[in-house]
Amino acid sequence: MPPFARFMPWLLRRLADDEIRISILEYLEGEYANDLERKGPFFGGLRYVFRAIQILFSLLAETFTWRLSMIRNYLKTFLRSGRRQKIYSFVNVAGLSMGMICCLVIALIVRDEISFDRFHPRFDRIYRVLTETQGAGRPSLGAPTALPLAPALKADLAEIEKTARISDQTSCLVEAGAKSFYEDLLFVDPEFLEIFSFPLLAGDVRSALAQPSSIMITGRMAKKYFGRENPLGQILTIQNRGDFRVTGVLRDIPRNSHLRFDFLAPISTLSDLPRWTAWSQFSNDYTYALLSEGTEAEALEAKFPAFLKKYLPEDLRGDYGLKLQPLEEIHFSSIRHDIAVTSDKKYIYIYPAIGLFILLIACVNFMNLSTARSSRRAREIGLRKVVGARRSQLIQQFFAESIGLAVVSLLLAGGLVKLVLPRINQFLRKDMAFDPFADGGLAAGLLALTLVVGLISGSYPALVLSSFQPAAVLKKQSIVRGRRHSFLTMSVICQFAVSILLIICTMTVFRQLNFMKNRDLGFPADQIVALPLSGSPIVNNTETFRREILQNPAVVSASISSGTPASGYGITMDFLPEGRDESSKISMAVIFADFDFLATYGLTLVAGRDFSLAFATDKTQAVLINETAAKKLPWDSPLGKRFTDGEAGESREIIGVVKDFHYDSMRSRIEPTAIAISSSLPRFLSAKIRPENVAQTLAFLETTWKNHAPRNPFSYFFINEEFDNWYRSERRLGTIFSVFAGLAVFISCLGIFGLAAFSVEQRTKEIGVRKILGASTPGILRLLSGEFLGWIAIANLIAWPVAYLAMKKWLMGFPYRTPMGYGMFVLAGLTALGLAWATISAQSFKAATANPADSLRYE
Amino acid sequence: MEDKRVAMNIIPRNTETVLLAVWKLKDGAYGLAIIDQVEKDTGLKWLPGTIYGTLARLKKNGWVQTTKIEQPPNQVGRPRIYYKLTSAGMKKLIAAQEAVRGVWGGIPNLEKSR
Repeated sequence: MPPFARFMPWLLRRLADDEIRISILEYLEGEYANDLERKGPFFGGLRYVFRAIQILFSLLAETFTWRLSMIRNYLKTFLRSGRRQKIYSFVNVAGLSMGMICCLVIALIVRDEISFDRFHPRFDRIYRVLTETQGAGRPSLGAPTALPLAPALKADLAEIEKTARISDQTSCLVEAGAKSFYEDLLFVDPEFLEIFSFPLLAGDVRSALAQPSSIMITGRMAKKYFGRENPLGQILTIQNRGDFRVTGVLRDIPRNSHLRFDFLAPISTLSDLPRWTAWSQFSNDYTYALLSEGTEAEALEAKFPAFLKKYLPEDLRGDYGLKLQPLEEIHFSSIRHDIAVTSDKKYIYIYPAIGLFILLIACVNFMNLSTARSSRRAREIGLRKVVGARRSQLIQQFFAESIGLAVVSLLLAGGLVKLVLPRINQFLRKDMAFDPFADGGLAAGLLALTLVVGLISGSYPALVLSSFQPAAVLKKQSIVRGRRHSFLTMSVICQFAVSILLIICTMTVFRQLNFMKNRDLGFPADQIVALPLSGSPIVNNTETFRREILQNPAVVSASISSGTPASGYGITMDFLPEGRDESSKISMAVIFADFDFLATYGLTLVAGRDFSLAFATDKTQAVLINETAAKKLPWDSPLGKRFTDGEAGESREIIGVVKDFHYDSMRSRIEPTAIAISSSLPRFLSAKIRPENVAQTLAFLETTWKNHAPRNPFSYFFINEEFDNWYRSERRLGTIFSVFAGLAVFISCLGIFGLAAFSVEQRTKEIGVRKILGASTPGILRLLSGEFLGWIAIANLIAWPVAYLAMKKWLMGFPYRTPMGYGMFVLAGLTALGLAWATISAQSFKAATANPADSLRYE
Repeated sequence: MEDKRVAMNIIPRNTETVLLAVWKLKDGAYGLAIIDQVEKDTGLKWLPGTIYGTLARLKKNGWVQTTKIEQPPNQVGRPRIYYKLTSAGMKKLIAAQEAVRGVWGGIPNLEKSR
């Protein structure tokens, strides 16, 4: 028996009827028998296989022949029409590509955002414990938790399988040999690596943090400190904490993790801290829990009040509660004092909507253009029908064309996305990949996108064009005008409405940004440089260091303080005004400073006086407050009054009121602030320097630093530059919106471009006649553009109220906001009108200045 | 699918050749015989797939019918399938002959008159 002979009957059964099958089998077997005799079994078998394959192939081709040739025909028509009408093809492809690029990038971004933290296998059982406090009448959630919480939770509640704490210690000095840097360290319970799965490059995950002096580092830290040497077993010295041995190397933490760190050390190292056993002290400590299988979060939360009752001392009980936050929400949350990498949920909802809108605009363009140009194809359609094409075949043809265009657009879009992705990754601090050959889901998505775009764009023209009656068409009767006008009008209006909306949003965002940047900070922020002192030996010697700095004439003034206006409200304390009861307690931000603080920062007094060495009691008895604090205090004139510090019981006298100054980004209100002389927390040295020769002054500062703290790296920042950083997310928003707006406007103009081109073509004869009758060029331009410009005016009327409401809502989130001027709306409208007019004019001008003789001869 | 082409009585050459071979072989038109006849007529060895593919299509179009004939008792082998022109097929062939005659009619030997 020849090879594969067993399969032949089965295969043939599928491709031919019974008798043909028998006929073929008879033939094959006959020839094989002959070959066996003459050529032997090997060649006989070979020839059998060849014959069999050839027959199967031919039968297959017979089945598909007619369809294949139709597809070939469609392809020919498609390419021919593409080549002939280059403008329209370009417009269509350009528009669809832009829309697709938009969708693709947004899809990548959304996918990345949703994928945060999903690489942990126990993703759906991991929760973070949040502290709920009553503040200003409303409950507010904070991420920091008390350190003793986690072990107690694990011990008492069976629903909790594991707990792990994280303590975030920033700016610790880490040394290895000659290298020393300031790093952020995470101190964690060993269970941290059991709850979360961060893969290791070296070391054993079970024992890596078992020893108290062990530390785990990421691959890139290993390279930074130890170069090519094996990091395992090496020693890292942490300031004030001693030596730690590297017991494990982690793979660099992926970007889509809400926790980003480079060092892990056992949290037991911090057991000497007073808050180790305190239930009421919160710092940068966070608690995570792994719930046992089948536990409902709400059910567990219900048990918390009883649990807290057991552990909290009497006086704290009213103050706080606990809540569970699922891991999948952490990345999108905005909780107070969070260390998580968070992002706005806006990304997931609004941007895809905008992207789809833009894609829709592009599809609508295609539809309009195809239908508008239908008269050109009328002859072809009529002829096809006459030679027997059925309507379904015509519909197939048009869909084939629109899908073909979609495919070309996709290829273009894909190429551009790949080119542009690195910039986008940089801009958004992400690590997205676009590799349809490796990523099955992505490839499927691309295919689906092409099909959907092709089908949507092609639907309208396919249905309309295929319904043409051949007789009417071949007699060149006018087919199209009338009824579809409304669709055309509506789509142009919608496109421009969306574009104008986006333009206004972009303008508003940038305006608010400018407003925040230029708003008076309450003090002159330029030429002030700050040096962080924490962790250096200078903290024990601040006055000496300060005096030495002042020796340089370029340094106008220098001050040691617990914070800077660029560092945010670090310390908050409660104060009781003298003579009032508990209910009048006020929470205020506190700055521990020295006598030169006001001078260095150029803060002005509105009442009273500054600290002065002339008054001996200023050091311990005096305090300055800002205007906001003064308003909150119950007295008309706060000068001379006293208030008490809640915990330590000290009381101070208000000697002056400082003009309000911004101590945080413009996104927060100015809080009541108190400034007192104290050297208990010397975290920064701030120096006001002269504008000339800044580089030299900085060099001087560095040298002085090195003299006092040789083992600490020198670092500094300018106060006004720091303030700029606050607005990074608004700046990003502005850029994103401007990109969207640009795209929308571009595509809308593309649409108008195509329609105008077509409209001009249609009316060439009419224009010729008008010219002969004496119409002027501007008159004709006005005629041609009038229709479109009217539509755009309507688009404005739609866009303005929507934009106004949307932006008003957004601005509400800022305590200090720019007024929304009418100018913006008008400007946006005029921009749209101007661009549209320019697009139309390009076409119209040619027609309006053409020789009427040529126009009338045009056929 | 019936060929709906208007006024096109000319049929593709492959189809024509196979159809004619079937006609020529009268009652003896079975697979192998057709293949041999076609080779004799055109001087070329056709691939079996081409012929069987054409035969399958002809049958689908209804221009040719198949009959299974048992072998006479003294010969070994399975029953043979014989192909025969249907009346529609015959009509098609006649129309094709007309059309071709119209095109080729009266043309002298082109080789000789070069």
